[in-house]
Amino acid sequence: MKRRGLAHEIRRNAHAYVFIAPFFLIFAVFGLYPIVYSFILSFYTWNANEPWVFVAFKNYHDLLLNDTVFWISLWNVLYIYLINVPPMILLGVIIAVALNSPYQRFKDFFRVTYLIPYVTSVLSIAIVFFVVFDDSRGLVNLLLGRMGLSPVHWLTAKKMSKISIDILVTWKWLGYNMIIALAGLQSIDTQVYDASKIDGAGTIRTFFRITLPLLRPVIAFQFIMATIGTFTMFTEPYILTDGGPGYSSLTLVLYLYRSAFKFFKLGYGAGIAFLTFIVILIPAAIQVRLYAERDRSYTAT
Amino acid sequence: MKARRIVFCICAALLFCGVLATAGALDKNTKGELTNWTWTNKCIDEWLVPAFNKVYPNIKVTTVPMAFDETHDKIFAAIAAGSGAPDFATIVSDYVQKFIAQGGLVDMTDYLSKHKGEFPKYKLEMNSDKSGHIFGVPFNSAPVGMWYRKDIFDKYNIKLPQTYDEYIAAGRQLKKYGVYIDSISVAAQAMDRSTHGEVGLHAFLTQQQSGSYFDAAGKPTLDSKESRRAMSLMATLVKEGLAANVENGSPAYYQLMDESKLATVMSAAWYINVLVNYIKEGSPAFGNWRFAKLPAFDKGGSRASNLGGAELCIFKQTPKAKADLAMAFIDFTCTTLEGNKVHAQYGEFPSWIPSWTNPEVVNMTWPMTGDQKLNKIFAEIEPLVPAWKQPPRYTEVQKILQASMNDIFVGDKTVEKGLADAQKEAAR
Repeated sequence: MKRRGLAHEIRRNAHAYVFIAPFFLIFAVFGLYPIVYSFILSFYTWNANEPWVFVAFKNYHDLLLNDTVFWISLWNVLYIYLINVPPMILLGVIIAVALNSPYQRFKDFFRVTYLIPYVTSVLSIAIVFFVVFDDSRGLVNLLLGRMGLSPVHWLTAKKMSKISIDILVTWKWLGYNMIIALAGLQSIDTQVYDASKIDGAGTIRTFFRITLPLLRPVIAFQFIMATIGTFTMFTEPYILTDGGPGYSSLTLVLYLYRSAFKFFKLGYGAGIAFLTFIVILIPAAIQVRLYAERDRSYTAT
Repeated sequence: MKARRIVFCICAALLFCGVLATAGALDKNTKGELTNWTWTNKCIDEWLVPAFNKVYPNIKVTTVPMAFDETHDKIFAAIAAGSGAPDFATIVSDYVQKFIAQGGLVDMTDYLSKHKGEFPKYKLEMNSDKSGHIFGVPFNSAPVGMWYRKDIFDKYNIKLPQTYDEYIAAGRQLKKYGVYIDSISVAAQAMDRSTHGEVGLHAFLTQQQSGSYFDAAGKPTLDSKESRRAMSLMATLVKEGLAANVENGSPAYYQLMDESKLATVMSAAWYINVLVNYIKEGSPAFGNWRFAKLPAFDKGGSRASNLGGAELCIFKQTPKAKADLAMAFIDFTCTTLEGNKVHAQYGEFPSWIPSWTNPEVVNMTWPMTGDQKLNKIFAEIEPLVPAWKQPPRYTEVQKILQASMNDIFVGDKTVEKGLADAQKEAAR
């Protein structure tokens, strides 16, 4: 029976394979090919003038051992992630719970409002925030002045640049995370809540002992998506601060873009791309492991 | 069959030769379409193309406006990809060596040999490769000086500074009245906003002293004596609060001008069209700008430098027919009196030397600068501009310098340490 294997399988279900083929074709051309090309390029030096020069692991050696800017950009991305992602996801869940409550009025209005930043182009948001965060004429500093506080150097102080980016990212993605959490909430059987109420559980305890655990798969998904999104962040720092002041808000992908297209070190940029991939892979794999294992132990029907 | 093939080949060759022979002497009624990319689209689209169409009415020139950085990024990508480039483009001197190294530009040496002596030597060197082949026709020159508000200087009795020490003294004087002398953004961001601001300022100050970012071997020399002196001057202006901490070209920047709180701008000849485009009549800034030579570092020292300036280049991937049309446009714009007059009238100082002595060009004035004959001063400065090296790595070291500037300006590093670190990074 094993002999008839793949070819037979495909012929038998030809129509199914035809339906799923377009995705794989597009992925092969626009996804797989550039990835493989890029990976191979990372072992060469290429500045778009001369042919590729094979340098084996030199790019990786330079990046990991000689390039302080690479490590700075890695640290920046980590910092942006830690300050932004866990609080934002938690906040999203809390707001979703509030919006899910039967006592909440104008639910639909709130749901729409929270989702609007998500559907707005990140480029236009970044440009507007750039103006809003301006040192002397920006809206935020003007308001602070009215309240008697001194202006904050949102985009022009090294200590603030990453925080300003986090503010933008939270503003944009909170709604999205909230909606995902809301969807997850609505898949929880209300009978569970009824049962817990009979057992005498208050709101807080219900939240921590019932809601959060049952939302675990949803939160896991959010964390993984946020990890990938934050570690590959480009547009926000590019528009708001161009990685500055100095290198304080330089992210991995921004450094990659700069190395490849501004400094014409395309092999080097490809090396950064693969190191970024590995950097994302580790926490993503850990998270998948963590939540998958936990899930397996949840054999509740 | 063989005979027919031979005849065909001979005819094709003759035709080709015929085309070559008439190249440059394009018939005035030739029909065609051209596309070009540029950031100085107002100049090309609204001034030069109409003038060009008076001579060649049937050639339609489409201008695709792009931001300064974007234009060069896209050209780099198009050359690397082998397709996608426009028929011709404006390329700034910072980037032209990179594109020459990529082999993407058409050799203009033969064309320029017919115009010997008509362009400044340093401009031609900037567009040449090591063997002396020239790949772009100089479009506009950018001699630098001090644009200043005559009304503010008169009001506070400030004399035109002849040295940078006098310039700093003037700045201190103006500070008492809440007026800034020039602007230096402590955290200048995107390169295209700062290339003609902070990074450009350091570059031309270094060039003014005949310094360079690269030595003869092409190795970076970011912590040279001249670079340090230039950075010290900028650091002083920032630390003493003499320069406004706003980004060149930002809304806050123009607001300072409207409020008469910005007394000078150190910039190049093309800055006149920036002023014309952004300052409206009714603003106190209107009509009160004048141009003066740069202060010298030491008494009697050089007062000339350059900031920018572009070339017109045709791409190797441009089809022959379009390349001929593009050549006609470049020829009209860069080496005819009419083209250069229109160019100068727009507010960019053309690189064509014969235009500098033309009475119409010499006597040009703009309402923004009263009755001052700007082109006359530009023509005096231009021959004295020291040479400046811009190899393919130029934009990379600019970015490294930009990153170190913030450390120096907020005081985290001294000028020496900041530049030494930048040098270490560039030499990596």
